[in-house]
Amino acid sequence: MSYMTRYMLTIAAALAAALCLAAPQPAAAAPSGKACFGCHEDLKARLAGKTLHAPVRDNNCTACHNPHASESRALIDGKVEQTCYRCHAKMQKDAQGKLMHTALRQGGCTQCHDPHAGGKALLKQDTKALCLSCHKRLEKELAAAHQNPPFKQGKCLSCHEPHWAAEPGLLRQSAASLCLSCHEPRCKANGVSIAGITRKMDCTGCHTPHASDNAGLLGNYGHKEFLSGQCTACHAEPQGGAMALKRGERELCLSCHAKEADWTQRPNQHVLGSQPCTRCHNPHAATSQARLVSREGTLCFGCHADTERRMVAGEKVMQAVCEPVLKHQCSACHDPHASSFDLYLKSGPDHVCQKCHKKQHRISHPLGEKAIDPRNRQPMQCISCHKIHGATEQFMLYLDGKRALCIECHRY
Amino acid sequence: MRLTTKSWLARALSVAAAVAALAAFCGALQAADTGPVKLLRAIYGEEAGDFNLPEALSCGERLTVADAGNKRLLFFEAAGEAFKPAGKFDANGKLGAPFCVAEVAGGKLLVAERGKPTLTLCDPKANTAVPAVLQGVPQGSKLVPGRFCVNDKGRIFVIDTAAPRIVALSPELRYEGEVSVTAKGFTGFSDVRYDRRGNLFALETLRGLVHVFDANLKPVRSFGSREGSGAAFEFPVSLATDRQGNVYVADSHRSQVLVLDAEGRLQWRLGGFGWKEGSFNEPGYVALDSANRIFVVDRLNNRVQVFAPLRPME
Repeated sequence: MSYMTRYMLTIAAALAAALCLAAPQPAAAAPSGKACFGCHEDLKARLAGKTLHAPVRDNNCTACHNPHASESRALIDGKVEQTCYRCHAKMQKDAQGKLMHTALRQGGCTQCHDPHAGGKALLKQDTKALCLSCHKRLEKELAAAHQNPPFKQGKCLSCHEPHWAAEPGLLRQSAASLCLSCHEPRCKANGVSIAGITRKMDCTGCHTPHASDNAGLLGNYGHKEFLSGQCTACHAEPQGGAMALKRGERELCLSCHAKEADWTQRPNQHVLGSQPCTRCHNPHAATSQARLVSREGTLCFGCHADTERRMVAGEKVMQAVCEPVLKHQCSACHDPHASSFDLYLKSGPDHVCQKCHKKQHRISHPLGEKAIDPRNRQPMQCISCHKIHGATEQFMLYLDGKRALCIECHRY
Repeated sequence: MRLTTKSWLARALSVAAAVAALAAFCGALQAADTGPVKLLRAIYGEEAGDFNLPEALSCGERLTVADAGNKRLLFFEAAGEAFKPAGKFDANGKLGAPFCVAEVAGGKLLVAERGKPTLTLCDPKANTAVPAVLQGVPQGSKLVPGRFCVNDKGRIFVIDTAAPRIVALSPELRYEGEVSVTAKGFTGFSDVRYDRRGNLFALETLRGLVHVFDANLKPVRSFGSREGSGAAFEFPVSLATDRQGNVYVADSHRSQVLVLDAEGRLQWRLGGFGWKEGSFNEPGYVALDSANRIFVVDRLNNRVQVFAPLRPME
């Protein structure tokens, strides 16, 4: 090729490159929805007559979905739990430092909201049906003799925030402020009005906020002294706007609950602090037989939030999780008061597991005094290999059971 | 182009130098992660029989371990890098589950036992255990003792779990003052230690806070947290201080001992979850002796692990 030819070709190539760069860019791809509905006709049919989510209304499916591939389910573009916050960023910011609705924390927005179309606020069902779909135990309360009108009418959001709140129970205000916004206290002790004292207290200390078979919405399970108005059985006479306890809380409770006193000797003590009993138990009236101040899982995770985080992370990965763990029935395995065993278990780890896993205990890896773990010189137990909270390996093992776990001890 | 022997050699040396530098860098990173200590010894019950839920220890003239599950105190004498069993004490079977122990004057031990409303003064030589009578403590009859510490002047700081407060006592068990936290949401103290300047460090487990009080029991600062997945602590249960003013926090659920400076900044971590020596499974107590050796009660592994500094500390 001659020098001139090479020169001309070079100039031509440079001009072509410049033209390409200067050429107007093709217009941004038009909203993809029309293309998507070409296959997803059933989805289009389901949307009819409902309130549409803005990206759906604008035929902008790729606002949330990746049309080609994704590591997330339903071809969501990015992490599922972060998708909504791409547009609803202010909501994520507002949630900082607040208590989050478990449904949101564990399942994300689509637990309650339909991401394509739904009712008001894109809810999958009306408020009452939606709330009861998870809070099933409240269905029984709908049959109670006395019901708080907002509860009866299914107006849950009149008291509760649906996403997050600063107050426990996701209340819109403190329990006392909320109740006082409609009710004036008429509490009496031994026939004497103590409304001046109780209006400063948390009303749910005695009253159930939803429904009860007792008049005045007093909790279904109450101390008999309280239900019969014998307040001075535990309290001194009202003085200076307060009703102090006659003795220290622990001493007072154990004076009647004497059979519980033997656990005070056990090495693992859970009942400590200035409110050793009332931290967990309602001393007046409550909705559960154990008179817990809230549901068991909620109560335990109030202090053991880090355990809940690990469990939730594990449940997302595991195909099968121990049932008491999955249902947050902590007291199925743990003694909430005191224990003489590891991890506040009700009995030795093997016995606790054996209650459900009878077969495994007979045919599994050697356990007990005849099988000493060479790593820590302790007898092998179920928890030597199984991680009960937050496991991510099959069979709730600490490590992969095909090799990694075995060679911890069985080195070749 | 063919390379000469010299240039091959030069290239080989360059590669070797790069690999060595990389290895040193990785080694430095690792050292920074596990801290400037080495495992000296893991102490099991030895001839006295296995520990059962060890709760605390005292590393004074000898090592005393509160073997709570067996309701006894076990003693060990330091012999070089070893710790030889040196007897036990259970008050003739009457000792409750001990959860805190410290040496006091006269070779005696002050012990907190589960289920007992008072501290106990134990004399292993005389084989006696009598209730420690605290004098002049306001609301003393309602005091429910938690953990405590004894400073180098014999002054005793006892957590009153019922109040909650920390009560300061003279070596003669006479009331000298108290301290608490009045902020809303305070959940109570779980452990208390002092540093060589006389400052008091108190741990609030449920909020993951370390509260610092000066020698006059005035609040100085607080640091730490348990909020969120990036929090300083997951479930801190014990703390200790060293001669340099660093704070050692045993984080039970992280199975680590976190070492922070006096302002609460993380310096390094010790341990991690596991069963092998050097790892922890729910460490429940941490203490340092005068040689800056770190003693960790490795609760669920039923042992005490002792770590020594790699370099002698000032």
